[in-house]
This record gives sequence, structure tokens and C-alpha cells, in this order.
Amino acid sequence: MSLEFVLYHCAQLGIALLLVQSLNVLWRAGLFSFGNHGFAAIGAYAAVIVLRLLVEGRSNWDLPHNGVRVAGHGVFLLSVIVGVLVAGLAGGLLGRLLRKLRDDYFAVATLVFAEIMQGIFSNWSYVGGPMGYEARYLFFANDKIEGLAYCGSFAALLTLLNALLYRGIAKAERWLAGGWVLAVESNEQAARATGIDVDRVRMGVLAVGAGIAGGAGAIVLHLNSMILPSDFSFANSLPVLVYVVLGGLRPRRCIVATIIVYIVYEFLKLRAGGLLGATVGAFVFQWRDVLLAAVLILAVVVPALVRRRLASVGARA
Amino acid sequence: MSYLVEQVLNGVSLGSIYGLIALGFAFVFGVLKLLNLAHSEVFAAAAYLAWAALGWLMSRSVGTPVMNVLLAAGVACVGAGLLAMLIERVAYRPLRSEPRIRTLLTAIGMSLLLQNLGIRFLSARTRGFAPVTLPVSPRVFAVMALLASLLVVLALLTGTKAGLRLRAVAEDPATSQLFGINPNRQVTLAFFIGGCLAGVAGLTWGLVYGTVNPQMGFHVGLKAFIIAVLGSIGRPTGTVLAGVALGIVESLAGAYLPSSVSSYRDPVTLSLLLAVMVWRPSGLLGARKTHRV
Repeated sequence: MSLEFVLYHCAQLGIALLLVQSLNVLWRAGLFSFGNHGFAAIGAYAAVIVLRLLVEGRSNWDLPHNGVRVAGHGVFLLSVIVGVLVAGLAGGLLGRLLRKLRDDYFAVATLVFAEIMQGIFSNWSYVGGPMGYEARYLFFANDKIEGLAYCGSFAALLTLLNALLYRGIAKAERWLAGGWVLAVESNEQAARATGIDVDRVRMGVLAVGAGIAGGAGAIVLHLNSMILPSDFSFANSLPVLVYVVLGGLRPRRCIVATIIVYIVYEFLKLRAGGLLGATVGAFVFQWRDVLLAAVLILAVVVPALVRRRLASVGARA
Repeated sequence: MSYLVEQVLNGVSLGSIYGLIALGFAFVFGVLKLLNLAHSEVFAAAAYLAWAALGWLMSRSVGTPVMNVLLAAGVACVGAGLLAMLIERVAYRPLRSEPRIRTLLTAIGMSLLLQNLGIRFLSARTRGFAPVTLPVSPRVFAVMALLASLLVVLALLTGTKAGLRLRAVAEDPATSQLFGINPNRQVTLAFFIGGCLAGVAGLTWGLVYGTVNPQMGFHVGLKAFIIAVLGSIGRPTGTVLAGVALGIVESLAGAYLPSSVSSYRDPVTLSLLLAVMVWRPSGLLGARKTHRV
């Protein structure tokens, strides 16, 4: 287990945390969206379009691996910012479009939106179509410590982003707008009666959540140097759903749940250095999606059964 | 002209399958006010059951092709019905008094669980249905299956005591309980019937398109769900009409759109459905009574 491997997984964990925080922003506001993978796809493919417009076809496309390239940094930052803005705009527009829908209907509508996005990107040849897009340039490169510097940079960047986001969201809840969001979440009719523009609040929350997911998608493109349309499928959003459900929609708990589940999964995949044997590791790796789906169901059903049991015991007492 | 007629007929048979799946959605929603997103995987499981049963029967030349298809339909219906009942018992009943989002989460979890179990146990590759020669073409069979299922559902709901109990629970669960009706039992029955409808849909899909794979349910199910909304949830006739209409639109779009655009058929169809969902969330025909969406 090399340092580069650990830093790469720290970076992947950072992406997962961004997506968890994005979903948390939406769900805590009562916007139960199942279309976050669609917003991540929009961010990623917006970044692809930036790369295609600014980098491809230029004489310095194949950057030699002998130092930091400021142009690389600039294009990276621009593509991520564009990814965030485009995804945020899409989220806001979707919020406007779905302003009359609630609960199940809203959730399914966001899922349908994400599937529409995936269908478009899978067929759009400009961004690679079904074969995906390979970003053949490096954000940062050095001959001697290439992989380490690369992974380390992303790990550091994502840690910083997640920390700032967590802090920012916690502060925002104390602002006036944050109060509006909490008011809309707890009782929409009462919020409307006090003069809060509920539709605008929902649009704003969806824009923020979508923007965060879009940023995560754009960073994934640069981290992995490649994206495929299937990377943003509904099935691939299952781990994020599990993390948020296990965390019970509380931001800190979601982050802790994400870190624990991610580390446990990767640890088991590594076969725990012989502690648990290759069989367990192979089983977890092959049955990962089945196990995650089962965990999602259990994480919702078991607490409900416990609550019902406690309520019946309390009623008898 | 004949090409147009053929595409319309293709659309009607596709729409019949959508209508059958959508009927299952609408049935459960009518009783429980629950969007059973795992229904699409019940449809896929039913298709596999029909594939296995028909393959076994045809390989052993047990009976005539018609008899084999009917037996396979029986296996698919009962199997899918039992699976739907199991899903209700495990994923939905414990959450009956919980916020709806939790039920939606378990529905999604169940859908992904069944999909991935299918991939693990049956592999992701597409399997071919055993070739069957029926007195009617598969497209006509699809329409007949839809009409027969619709008649059975309407007869059940309006002409039997079981249907009366189902409608009572759908109307007012608390009051129906005061009259001695067990709501849990009615809900289980609704899921079983929804599963049977998915069973017919699965067999019909296999006969019309000749293939099955574990991931076939998701997109078809998503369209069928929106069709159930489009056709005004709770109205079987509206649901069926909406399904057939979508099938025709999709078939004509695939046939007449330029090839550069025809690959976008699915996103375009989903966009149209989303637009209707946003414009008329109570359905094109309007709901029987006002309910919040």
C-alpha cells in the first residue's frame, strides 16, 4: 500500500464527500432529489467542453512532464468553475420547472431529469458519446514524483473544499436565507404565509446543491483523466445515497458515515493484509452493489421497526 | 402507408407492454398511495421466470405452444406476485406510518438490490427467448394480453367482494378497518395483483422482443411510472390509453426521425413525459378527486 495509493483514495473519498454534502443540502431542505448524478454529469461534461474549446488543437496540447504548467492550472480551475456554474444554473432551472411537484413526484422527476442528461451525453459525439472523454493533459506533473504530487494535490484540494463547504453550510444556516430554507422545510404553508417566496427558496437550494455536485463531477474528470457516461448512472449514485441515509441527514454524521463505510470497503477489498483472507475481500468486491442496496434498505427499515417497538412499549407503559 | 401502419402496430404492441406495467403501478398507488419503484424489477424478474418456464416447456415439448405460453404466463404471474408480496412485507409494511421519503428510499434500494442480484446470479448478458409459434403474431398477443388484463382488473374491482374491499381501503383505510376489513391483507392483495400484471408484461415483452436482461426493467419501468401519472393514477382505462399513445409516439419517432437524432429517442421520450408530469401532475384526464402531489 503506497503513499500514492492512499492519497488517491483520499481524493476519491473527497469526491464522495462533496456529493454527500451536495445531497445533504438538498435533503435537509426537504428537496428529496434522486438526480444528483445528473448534475454531476452536467458539471463533468461542461468541463469537457471547456477543455475541448481551450486546450484541444493547440500546439502545446501534449504538455511535457517536466514541471508545473500554469496553463494547466488555469484551465483546470476554469473548467471546474464552469462545471459548478452550469450545473447550478441547470439545478435552478429545474427547481423552477418542478415548483409544483412535491415528495414522490419531485423525487421521480429529478430521477427522470438525470436519466435524460445521461441519455444526451451518451449520444453526443462532441463530448465523446458512449466511449467517454479522455483528458490527456495533466493538472500538475513532475518527472520524479508525478503520481504522488498529482494525487496529493487533489487530496489536499478536496480536503480543503470539503472543509470550507462544511463550514460555509453551517454558517449559512444562521443567515436569513438559511432561516428561510429551514422554515420551508419544516412547514411550507406557514413559511408562505409569513411572506417567504417558497419557489425561489427551493430554486436557490437546488441551484446550490446542483452546483456542488457539478463541481464534484468536473474534478472527477481531472482526477481520473477520463469520464464515461456510465460513471454518472443511477446505480453509481447508490453509495452516496447509503452514506446520507446512514448519516441520518445530519451533516457531521453523514461525513463520518462516508469516511467509515468507504474505508471499511477499501480495507476489505485489500483483503485486510491476510487478516480476513482473500475470500472475504473478493466477496465484498464482487457483491458490493448488492451489499450497499441491502444496507440502504436496512438503514431505513431497522430504525423504523425500533421506533415502532419503542412506541408500542411506551404505549403499554 | 403500409410502413406507417406497421410502425403504428409496433407502437401499439410496445404501448401494450407499457400499459401493463403502468397498470401495476397504478393499482398499488390506488390502494396505498405509494410509488412502488421496485415494480420495474418485478417486471424484469417476471420476464426471466417466463423465459425459464417457456424454455423448459418448449425443450421438453410438454404441450402445444399455446398451452406452454399460458403455463409460462401462470408461472410468471404467480412468481412475480409472490415477489411483489415479499417486497411489500420487507420494504414497505414496516414504514407504513413513516414519512413517504423513507418508503421511496427502500423502494429504490429494493430496485437496485433486485437488479444487482439479477446481474450476480444471472449475469448481465442478454438471453434469448425460446421461439414460439402462436396462432397470432406476438404484437397481436401483446394487445390481447393488455385487453384481457384490463378486463380482469375492471371486473375484479367492480364485480367482486375482494375488489370492493380494495376500493374501500383505497378510499379510507381507517374507516374500512372499522368495518372489519384488514388493510394489511388488502395491501398484500394489491401487490400480488400488481405483480401478476408485471408477470403478464414480462412474458409479453419476451414474446415480442425475444430477449431478457437484468437491467431491462429500469428505463421501461420509469416510462411506465410516468404513463401511470399521465393516465391519471387510479384510472385503469386512462393508464392503458396513455401507455398505447406513448408506444405509438416512440415507435413513430424511431422510424421517422433522422438517424443522427433517432439515437436520442429515449431522452426525447423521457423529456415529453417529464413535461406532462410538470404540466398535468394529476394526469391528462384529471384525478378522480383532488389530491396533493
